[in-house]
Amino acid sequence: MSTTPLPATPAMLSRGTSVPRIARPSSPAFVFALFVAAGVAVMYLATGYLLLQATQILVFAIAILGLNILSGYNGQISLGHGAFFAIGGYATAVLIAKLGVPFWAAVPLAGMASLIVGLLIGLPALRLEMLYLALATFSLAIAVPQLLKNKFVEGWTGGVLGLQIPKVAPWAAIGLDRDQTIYLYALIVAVIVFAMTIGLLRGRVGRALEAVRDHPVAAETMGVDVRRYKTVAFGISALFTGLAGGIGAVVTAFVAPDSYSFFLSITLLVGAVIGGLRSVVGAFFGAVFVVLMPNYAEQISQAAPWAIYGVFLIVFMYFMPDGVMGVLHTAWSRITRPTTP
Amino acid sequence: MQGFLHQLFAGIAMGGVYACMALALVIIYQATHVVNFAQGEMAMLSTYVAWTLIASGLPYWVAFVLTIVFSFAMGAAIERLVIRRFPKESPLAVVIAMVGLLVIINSLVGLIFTYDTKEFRTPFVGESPVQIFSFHELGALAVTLAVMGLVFLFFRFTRIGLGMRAAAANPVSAQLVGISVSGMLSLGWGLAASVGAVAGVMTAPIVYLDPNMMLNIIIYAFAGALLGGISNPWGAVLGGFMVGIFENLMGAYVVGSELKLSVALALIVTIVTMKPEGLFGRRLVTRV
Repeated sequence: MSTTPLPATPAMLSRGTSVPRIARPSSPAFVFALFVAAGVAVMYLATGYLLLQATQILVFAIAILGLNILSGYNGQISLGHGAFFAIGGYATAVLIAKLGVPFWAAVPLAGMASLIVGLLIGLPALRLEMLYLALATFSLAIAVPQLLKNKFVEGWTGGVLGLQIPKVAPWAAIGLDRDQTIYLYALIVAVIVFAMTIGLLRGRVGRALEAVRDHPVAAETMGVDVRRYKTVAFGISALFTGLAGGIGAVVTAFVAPDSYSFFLSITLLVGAVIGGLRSVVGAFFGAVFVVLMPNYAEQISQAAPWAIYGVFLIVFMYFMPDGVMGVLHTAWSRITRPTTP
Repeated sequence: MQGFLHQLFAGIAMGGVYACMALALVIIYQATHVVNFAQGEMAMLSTYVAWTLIASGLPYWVAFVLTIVFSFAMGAAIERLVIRRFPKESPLAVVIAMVGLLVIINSLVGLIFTYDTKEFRTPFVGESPVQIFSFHELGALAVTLAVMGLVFLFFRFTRIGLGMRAAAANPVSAQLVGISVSGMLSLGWGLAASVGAVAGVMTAPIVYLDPNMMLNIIIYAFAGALLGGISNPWGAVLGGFMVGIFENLMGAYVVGSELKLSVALALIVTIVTMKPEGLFGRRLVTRV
């Protein structure tokens, strides 16, 4: 997403200073506020299945954002992010069903569990070249269901049968039913996570992460601790995807090994690629795609969504490596580019 | 003892399959420096082609040869149409494209043949000449060994094989002495797809035929290739056999069959973190 810097003309400079930053329709804060307002509106407008889908979109947006930070901003690959989704889901299920923790506390705790595992995986991952990391995470993605089924953890995970989660108590005090409660919770987590990411990426951490991606050696000589930032990226990524897994488990009220198959990891990857790996907002568009598209494609056949996923992965990587957001960005800069006489 | 020997030889027979897949992975890695995540799915598609041909009434070995020819064309076509278009400088893009390929093949087969499990027949029926092997295991081992032997002879003694090795070792110099490097890359992919097809056809009678049949096997093949060293074809073959034996004995006596895949995962993680060049490979040195 490289935009060639244009020489600043007096007109451009004055345009930048005359209007307060926040009120400009393209300012990030304004767009963010719009998103949040729309999110709250959805809670009252959508019901039943529609609201459920909206919740799923938020869940996937959070998970895909986690993958974007790792792959897009830090250049590390993970083909097994479904594993963190599974950790979040199972930790939430165990906390609610076995230990009686309320769901709103269980999800952040599950996120922390995922964060710890992410840091532990991130440490050996530091030493791996891209291909080896891809191989290891690919294998992890395929092995996840088997790891969840095995008899050593059966007492906690319920083995092949999975684990039922008691229905959450709605927040009746503010007049919400159960579906709305879960949706609002997902929205709050999403807002926090997205705001945090935007803040993080605009500052020192974001520049360090991207420097490590673009040129680790140069980054090191500039005083960026490459190992530390790679570990940090893995940790944050695992935290976000784990949180999403936790909310996802609350939504379905059930976790089972086969819901966390290899194909879940692929779904997250598809969402990240389509939205744009190097984009925060892209995670949201990617989530919309992976939640809504299968509904329509499955009417053709069970295999159709996957055929579309596969084709999109290749076509996007070839023609639009920065995804939908990349295309929008290019279009936007074409429109707003001042015409030179 | 009898039981142990049986487990050991079953491991060797599966090892032949893993070794073929590992060899295919290494051929492609050597030619184009990418790990072919779709290798298993390509072999699975080949196996479905073989199944269709046999079901249409062709004799087994005719179908076998036709399948290998088809696989060769498929591999070369994939290299020409997809892989070539992605710059090697961006491994992320290549890996994602491979995963895309995997998903496309998997879903296309599901679309055409459905996800139902199918029986796949073996040409080796009857009494086994060696007690501890089943006849199919023995036959599969013989076929996989023969294929690997042929590949060895091809690389060692033919002009094209030499050209392929040259193109892999030093593309620029190879081009200068008149070797068509781009042709060699396609050839490498075709060859790898054919070797993989043999592995698929030989496994299908054991694991049955369904679109996800190779997802586990590719993991063992990765483990084998990494164990032997992804830069050394014969190391990878040996690694494939070692993984086959290890996996079978661990499954039978230590962890139980439901954790076999996790053993392979642990093996992969151990190798890539401790000794990424494998037992017989050369260490890859990258210059700044």
